[in-house]
Amino acid sequence: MIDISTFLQVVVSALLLGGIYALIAAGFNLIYGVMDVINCAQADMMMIAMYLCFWFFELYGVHPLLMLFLATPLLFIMGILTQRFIIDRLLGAPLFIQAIATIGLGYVLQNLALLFWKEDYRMIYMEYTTAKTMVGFISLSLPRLVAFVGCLVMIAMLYMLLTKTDFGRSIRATSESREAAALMGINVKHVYALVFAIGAACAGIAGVFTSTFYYTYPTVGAVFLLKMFVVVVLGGCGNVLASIAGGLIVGLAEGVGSFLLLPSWKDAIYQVIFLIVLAIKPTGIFGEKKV
Amino acid sequence: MPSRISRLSSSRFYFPCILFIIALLLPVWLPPFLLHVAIMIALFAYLGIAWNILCGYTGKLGWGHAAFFGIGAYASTALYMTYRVSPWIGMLLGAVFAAAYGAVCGIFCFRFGLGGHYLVIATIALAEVMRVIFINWDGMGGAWGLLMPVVPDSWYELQFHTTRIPYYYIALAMLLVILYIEIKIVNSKLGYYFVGIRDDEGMAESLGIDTFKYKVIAMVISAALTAFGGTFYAQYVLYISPETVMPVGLSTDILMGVVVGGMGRIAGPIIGAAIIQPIHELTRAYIIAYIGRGGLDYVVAGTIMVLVALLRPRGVIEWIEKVYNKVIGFLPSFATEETT
Amino acid sequence: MSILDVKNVTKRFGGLIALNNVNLHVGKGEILGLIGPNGAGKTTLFNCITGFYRPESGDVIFDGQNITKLTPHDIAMKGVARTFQVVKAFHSMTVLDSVTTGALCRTRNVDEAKRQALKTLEFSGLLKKKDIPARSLTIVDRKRLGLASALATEPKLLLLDEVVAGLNPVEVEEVTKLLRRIRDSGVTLFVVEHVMRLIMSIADRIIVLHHGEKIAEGKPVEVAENKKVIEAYLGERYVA
Repeated sequence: MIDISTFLQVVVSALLLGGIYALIAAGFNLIYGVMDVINCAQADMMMIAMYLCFWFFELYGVHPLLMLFLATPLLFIMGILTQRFIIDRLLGAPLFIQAIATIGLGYVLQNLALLFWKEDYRMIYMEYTTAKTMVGFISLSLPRLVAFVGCLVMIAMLYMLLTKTDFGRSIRATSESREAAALMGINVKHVYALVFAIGAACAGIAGVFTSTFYYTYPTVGAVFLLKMFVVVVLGGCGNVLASIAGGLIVGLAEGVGSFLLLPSWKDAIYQVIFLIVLAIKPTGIFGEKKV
Repeated sequence: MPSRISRLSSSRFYFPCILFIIALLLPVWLPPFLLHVAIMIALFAYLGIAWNILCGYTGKLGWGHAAFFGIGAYASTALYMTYRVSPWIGMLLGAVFAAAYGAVCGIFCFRFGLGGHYLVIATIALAEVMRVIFINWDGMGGAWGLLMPVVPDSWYELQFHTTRIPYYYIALAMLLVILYIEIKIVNSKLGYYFVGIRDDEGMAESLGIDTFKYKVIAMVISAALTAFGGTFYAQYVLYISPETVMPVGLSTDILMGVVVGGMGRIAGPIIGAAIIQPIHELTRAYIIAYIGRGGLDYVVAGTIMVLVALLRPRGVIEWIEKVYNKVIGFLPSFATEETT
Repeated sequence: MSILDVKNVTKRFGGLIALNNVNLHVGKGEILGLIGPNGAGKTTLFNCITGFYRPESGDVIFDGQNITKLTPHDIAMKGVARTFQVVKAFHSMTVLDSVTTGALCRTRNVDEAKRQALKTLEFSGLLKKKDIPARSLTIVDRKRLGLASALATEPKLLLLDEVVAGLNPVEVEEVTKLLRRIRDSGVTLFVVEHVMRLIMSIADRIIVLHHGEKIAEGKPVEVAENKKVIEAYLGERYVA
């Protein structure tokens, strides 16, 4: 018979990872929803943040969670620079070209990481990252739980930024029509730069959280990127809030799948779910483009 | 579009002819490492053209061709290892299997009218599913892959060790054959219909084109042709595994060349491969020699991708064409140009 | 003898009823005009006839066959061709290639298709421009190209959606002559138009659509006098 507590442990543990997927996807969806740009380097930016956490811990003993205050602004700036020099010229370009450019960027990031830091798998070993906590009768990894909550909080904050602030309103206006927004005095270039930077920051925050319980290595982005795409399509392309649903579903599927099937089939599970969703409702559960 | 190709007597063919002659004589003076680079250029030019037939001409961008490549590699390798079937025959069967999976992918994707980014992710998903299947398929070596038994040089078994030259000529021959196939397709009803689908599907339908059928046909042809490349690669490196012949990165490698060179153009994939592959191989070799690990080749490749996307999204071929046409203007022509 | 019968066709988009129980027929060899204010449902009707939309209810019978549920390409193969209101073109192809693509629906042989295409180009007055890429054409020529490509499929019935919109009177006159040539060659024409000069001079009968319903039908002169029609156009009255 299935051991309920092991089952729940595996499933919930995987579900928690879904929070990370959701945050990365939320950043991606924000960028896509507002700028119509596909940022394939999203997960690689997360990787950079992960390395920042690792090295600051290794060299200076900084607690990874503190890196939220350092990595986030750094990624934010990186986002602004990327937008200024690369993304800006991709606005309105055919999607394929955008993908090529951002994948190229991703390659550069991945391989610079490979060049400087080697391909070894890194892990932050400290009391915090190996801590466990009990939720009900299941034992869960503490950093994972904190990451999950943290990511959801971030998405909620992002949502509030978009709906409750003036700046959020300018963002939404720009996403609906850049001409109309410009006519209303909104500096579209600034909005785009900030939106991309926020998207990058989302990836950064996700990276900080992930570094506390996941291996850090140059190509870790590739793994998360594919899952991110599935999350995005599941929830709805460009739909920031729906990323949560998409992330949870993918996380859940991974958990259940790895419990029922051999772990080596895990990678195929979310792909199959994804193909099914594409067949039934390609625009995603909650529909597209609701920034 | 197609009409230009048939004017064989025009001076536009000087340069390709010269190139062809150089290509034939290349192995004579190239050192082994550069010969390897040349083989890679030929292979990726071949794969790029196969990809181009679907993506450049119909405009339906797939990112899952690694699956077809891998199916070709595995089919011929498995058949050889189990029944000592010559890879030449294994190739054909590999193409059949790849065509079948191509039909599955095509029917699934196009039945639901997928296009744009949905198609990209769908084809990636379909390729990843295939990769995971092979990882778990113990009969095919699972995650460890298959190690080809080494035999003395043989054309029947398609293995050569004393020199790489036969591999080069095989790759060159494959490239010429697929070029011929491409030109034939471009000038045929298929070619017109593919481009029609790319330019405007609605209008294509209104002219009696069954867009679903032709998109699937394009996918199947592209898949089968890609598989041949997989078999060649298997015979060249003598070791295959899901990580080396089916990863998403391989699909990216294939299409990178075409995008850099120019999509939907006959010479595009060749130019692209001729740019990307040498950079890959040379940077990898020298950097590994100096630093001891890889990575720089993809940094360069990545940078090229970004630059091409920003500056020359239609491919380097546009720029080369301008230069080329200027040069042609100075050359005499053999005969008067026919008009169609 | 009607070549096309539209029976009780209704088309809805969510809550909006675009076509409400529309009934009409097109006689073989005639030129039938379809007019109506913007948003009346004319293009929607064309889309339903040619398979781009599927009506919620009703039937479209072409040459005795029920084509309501067929795909656009099947319908085109059966002999119904069309042009598009927002002019469509194969932008990377030359004029000749475009029309050849249309001709290829009747033959597999590219050379034969090209021959047919050249004939069609001559008929439509585009022969001199055959090697120009479609994206370099003027709007006028692009419309003519769309028409020529459709003609190359050797249709029995040709649906034209605002084929002279944006053309000056001289150009309209040229197109009018071309349409007459087309009809004389045996093709039935079903023409949607806003430019009254064309419709009045060329149509044998006119149908008027308003808010998705047929409000008038008859000879051009009759329709021009019809009170309901005048009302629909808000009092404006075009004199041929």
